[in-house]
Amino acid sequence: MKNSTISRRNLLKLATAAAASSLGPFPTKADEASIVIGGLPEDANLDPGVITATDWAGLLRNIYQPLVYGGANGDVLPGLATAWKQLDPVTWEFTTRDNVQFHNGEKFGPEDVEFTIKRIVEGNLPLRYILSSVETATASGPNSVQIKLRAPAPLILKILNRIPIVQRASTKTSLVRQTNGTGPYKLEKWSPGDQLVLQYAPNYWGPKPSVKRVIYRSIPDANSLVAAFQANEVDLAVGLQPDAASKLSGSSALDIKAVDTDRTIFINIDNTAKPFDDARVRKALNLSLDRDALVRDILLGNGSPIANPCGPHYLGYNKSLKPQFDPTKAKELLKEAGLPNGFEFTLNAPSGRYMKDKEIAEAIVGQWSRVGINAKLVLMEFGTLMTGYRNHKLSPAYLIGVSQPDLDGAQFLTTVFNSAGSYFKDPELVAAIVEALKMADVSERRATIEKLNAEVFEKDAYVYLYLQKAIFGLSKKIKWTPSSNEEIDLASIELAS
Amino acid sequence: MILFLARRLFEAIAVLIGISLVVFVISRLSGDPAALMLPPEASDEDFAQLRHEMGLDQSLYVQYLTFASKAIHGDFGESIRNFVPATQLVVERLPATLLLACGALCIALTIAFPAGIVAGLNRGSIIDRTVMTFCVIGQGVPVFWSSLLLILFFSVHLHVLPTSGYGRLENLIMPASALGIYTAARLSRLVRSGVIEVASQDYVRAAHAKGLAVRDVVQNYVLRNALLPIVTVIGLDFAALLGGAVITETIFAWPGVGRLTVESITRRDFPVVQASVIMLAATYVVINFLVDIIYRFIDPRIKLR
Repeated sequence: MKNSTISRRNLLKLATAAAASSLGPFPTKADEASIVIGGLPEDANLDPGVITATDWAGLLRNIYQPLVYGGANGDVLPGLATAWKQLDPVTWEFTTRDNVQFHNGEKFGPEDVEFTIKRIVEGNLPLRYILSSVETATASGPNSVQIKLRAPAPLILKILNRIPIVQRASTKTSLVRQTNGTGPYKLEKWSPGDQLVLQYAPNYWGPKPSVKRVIYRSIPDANSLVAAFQANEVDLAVGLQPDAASKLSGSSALDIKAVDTDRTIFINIDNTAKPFDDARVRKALNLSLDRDALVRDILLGNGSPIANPCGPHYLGYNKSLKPQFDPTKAKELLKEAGLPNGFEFTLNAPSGRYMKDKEIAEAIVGQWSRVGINAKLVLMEFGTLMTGYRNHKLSPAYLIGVSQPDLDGAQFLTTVFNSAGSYFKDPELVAAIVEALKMADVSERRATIEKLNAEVFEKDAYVYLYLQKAIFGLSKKIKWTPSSNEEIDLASIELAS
Repeated sequence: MILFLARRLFEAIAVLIGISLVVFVISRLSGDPAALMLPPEASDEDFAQLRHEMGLDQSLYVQYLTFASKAIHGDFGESIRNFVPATQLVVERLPATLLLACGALCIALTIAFPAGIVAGLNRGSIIDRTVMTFCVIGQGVPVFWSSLLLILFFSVHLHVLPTSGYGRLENLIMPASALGIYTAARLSRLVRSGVIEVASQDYVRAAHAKGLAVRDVVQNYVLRNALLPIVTVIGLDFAALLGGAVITETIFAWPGVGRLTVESITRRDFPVVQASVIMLAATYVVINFLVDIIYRFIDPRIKLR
């Protein structure tokens, strides 16, 4: 009897020891020059030719670099290319940067650009949807590469901003779980679902960043993220919710920063469905919404009402358009349209995709009901909504958020009014958008898009809502200004001394 | 015994085929992965072409046969989103899931047996009532809530444990406790009622009358006879811990299979969903089988047929 007890106890000890050792070495703790970011996007692949999700692609941009970087309002900044010129309508030549090394020590050259483009176009990788205007690329000299287009593409520089350059002879296997870029950081280690560690790449060609090591922690639960931030385990909390942000903002040890993103939330409507064929009814939809109240009461200030499809960083944003709120006028318009008692329709909306999307949709339905418009809200998970989007099943109305990485207003109008998700049928408008897309002259393009933005506002071709903000929490250890594109440029983070 | 094994194997195969069919059909009813992969401005032709490349334009029946013929050889296909074999993604999350389930079960057993036995032997006493009160609370409090309370108290307030994460033993303590306490509450009630039932049997009274120490009576007469139904429930609970710890895994940022499965469902990454669900189903089958074997050791009168 005694013996068996002892052996059982020993067994337990052994089991505990085994469990402890299976946990492996202690994970790396943050030291002076390293920071912890709370919020590792969920993904399980590091291949930059495969990743299209904006959050994960943004993370990879600290490792890989494009030929050129796209700035706000049509700006283009040098990346791995130092200069570029258009040889003819369908050929561009880029001068590649000298003295750039990949993290494995190999020299960067135009052949790497040729390889990257061909890999995506000929290999049919997911990034081909971005590169659809490109036919091929050829290294044309020791320091130059030519990119050949299928047709003139005024946005080509903006598009190349989204193509991270990989080293020639990279393969799927060499990129899936390892990295080899030219950027300021390289991968130290990665355990999917848990953490990803980046460290400064000593052979990086640009200025040395302040932060030498970054530990991204995966914290999918919003409350746990706040707890980790409060417990000082995290230096930068990504994607805080409005209520958490307002609760934390009182603390002097933490800094909360909310920034307008390039993502607009709006409602698409079907003008072929009654009564939305009547412009007065569409105007009533817009006039009856108090966007200031939506943003103030539900997003707790973390949004900016807007009357353009695209946000202010896009080429062609029309400053003169301001959101209007006039419920009395809305009621009159409904009466004029022969609907004094209002009407009913279905509003489709995603739940759990955008900041407080469900609550926003419910509040919109509530505001409409005050003028007699009775919307039946159908909430769905985002995957279901997108399946409906592709299969043209979201008529007569649905709420969605769109962000266009090229920051081009014509591209944005295309997504809203000339894509699989468009229900507002207006052939003249569509023709004008298609024309705008072709314009190569920036000032002409800007003026045309501004005019089109005013036109869709006048026609009430959609229900405009607001720009969504992104909320970040910063510990006292770092100084950083978030950018509107929802990416975290690690090199722009400074350690507070 | 051989007959028993053969029948069990046959049943297992039937269960797995059934599960694979259900998962296959249900996951495809709710949405289309191609719709989530394309940028919003992509055309209808892009969508049709991508669906064609992914084989989603074939009939469900053809898709299932293609899947099943590969799955038999252990090939569950490549993750739609990540271009890595689905089984690899699931297998690399398995250690975390096993660790959490074992940790939770250890905590549950350590609490449930002493508590249940003491309560059962002292039926109606203040001890019994206290234990039962805790059981009701333990079972009634949702895990997501108790998890958050644990984090707030031990991490944010006392700073003694990390809020979430994986890799160190101290990371395991809170998630295993949150799950373990819930399971312990269920098990204690079961142990208690088992003990009460057996303790009133003639042979137990006889054992007491012989003058055996209480400890020996409990260990050799009461517990051994009360154990059968408890083992069944432990087996089921363990299987549930393996598959159903999604909420705990999410709150504590634990990189387990449950979280992977849910993420894959939201992205409609069918191969990963299929691989993880079928693997979890296989675990259920294996655990049930082991429970049957354990039966025989506890009660030699049981013949496995």
